[in-house]
Amino acid sequence: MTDDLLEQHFSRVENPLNDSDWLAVRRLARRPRRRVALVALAAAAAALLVAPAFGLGGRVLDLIRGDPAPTEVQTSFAAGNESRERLFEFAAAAGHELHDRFSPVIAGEARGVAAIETPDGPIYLWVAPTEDGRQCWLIQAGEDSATGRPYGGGSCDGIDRMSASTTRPSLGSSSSSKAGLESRFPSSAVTRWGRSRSRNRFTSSLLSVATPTARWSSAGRLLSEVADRFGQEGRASSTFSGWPSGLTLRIALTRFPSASITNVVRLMPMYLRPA
Amino acid sequence: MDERARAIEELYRERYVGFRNALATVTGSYESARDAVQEGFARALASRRQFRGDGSLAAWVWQIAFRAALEARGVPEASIDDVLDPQLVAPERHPSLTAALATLSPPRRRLIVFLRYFADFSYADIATACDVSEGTVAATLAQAHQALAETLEPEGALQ
Repeated sequence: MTDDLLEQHFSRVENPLNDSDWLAVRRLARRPRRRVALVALAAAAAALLVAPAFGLGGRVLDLIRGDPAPTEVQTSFAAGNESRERLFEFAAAAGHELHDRFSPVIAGEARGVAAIETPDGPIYLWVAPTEDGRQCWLIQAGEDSATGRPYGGGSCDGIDRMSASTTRPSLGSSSSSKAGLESRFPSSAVTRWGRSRSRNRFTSSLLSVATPTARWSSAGRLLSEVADRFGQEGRASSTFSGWPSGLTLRIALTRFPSASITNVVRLMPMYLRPA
Repeated sequence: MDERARAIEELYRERYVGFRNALATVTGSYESARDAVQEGFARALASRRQFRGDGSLAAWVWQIAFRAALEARGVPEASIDDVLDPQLVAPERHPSLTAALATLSPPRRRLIVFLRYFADFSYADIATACDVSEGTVAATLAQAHQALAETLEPEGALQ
């Protein structure tokens, strides 16, 4: 049986209707702002749910903020793109080929979508669209006093398998010590979170959630988990005895790809293949 | 509009029907396939700078549309082989072809056939789209021809 004959058979079951609509495709392609609005609603719901978990009399400060993120936050999102480019270059130089499933973040379109007030200061949720219509997000709990760079952690929607990240070249410190962590989060760096107890609790909460096996489907879920851990840490301990296991901490720290984003946990799934 | 965007638009205008018909064998209906194709081309347009040119544009867009179709069905990427079962949307229109296709197993082989005859993909495009080698595509299509011939040729000439 030839290709031509088979084509004739298949032509009998084809649907010839052409219901294409290129303008609709273009409209869909320009939709990041609309998707951010959806995330805002999800984040608002998450904020309502997690507020009681703080157990600190926290209240929802501002459910939805559509305002553009400040330059420092946009810069943090953009730093992830730069970091990724460097990682690709680093891998290529080492003879590996990295395949990233995700597109760059459009840092200039980052928006504030939620904030929760706690006695120690607000926690902000910032969201930025990616070029392929996903969202990346950053949970901020303070900023660097010198540069204004946000202090917190984040990731991108759709990143739900973390195991691959342990196979890529480690570009950061593998220190599991408190000193190692402190060097990355110097106490002088946080202004809003001036009380180190709160800062330490937040960092502990974030890192305990940011494990390689964590499965996050949305910013709302991470916000919920961080808030939940934050509440637990607050009740359980105010010292470093409350840190997660050394292994978890070590792995979380090795994920910092470069100094430029040491204040932001960036988690990008990549496939590492021999060249 | 940049050159790559124009190429994506041209691909859409020339190949939309083929993409939709091929994807319908995965989604089960032309309506859901249309949605997935629209979504796939929209994502491709938005992330066109990510296309590195190491395969054809058609295969790259197909992969995006295919993922969109699976997402719409709530299928995790890791489970594709468990749930993928491409079928003709209107099997009653050609029962013998339907029967012949049913002999092709595993289901991924049927997708290769549909990509060839609905989406008019080259062997190289199919290889990229399905993440297999061209040799695998050729072998699969040869096996498919054999299986289909055994079922269809006794029918004689086309009706």
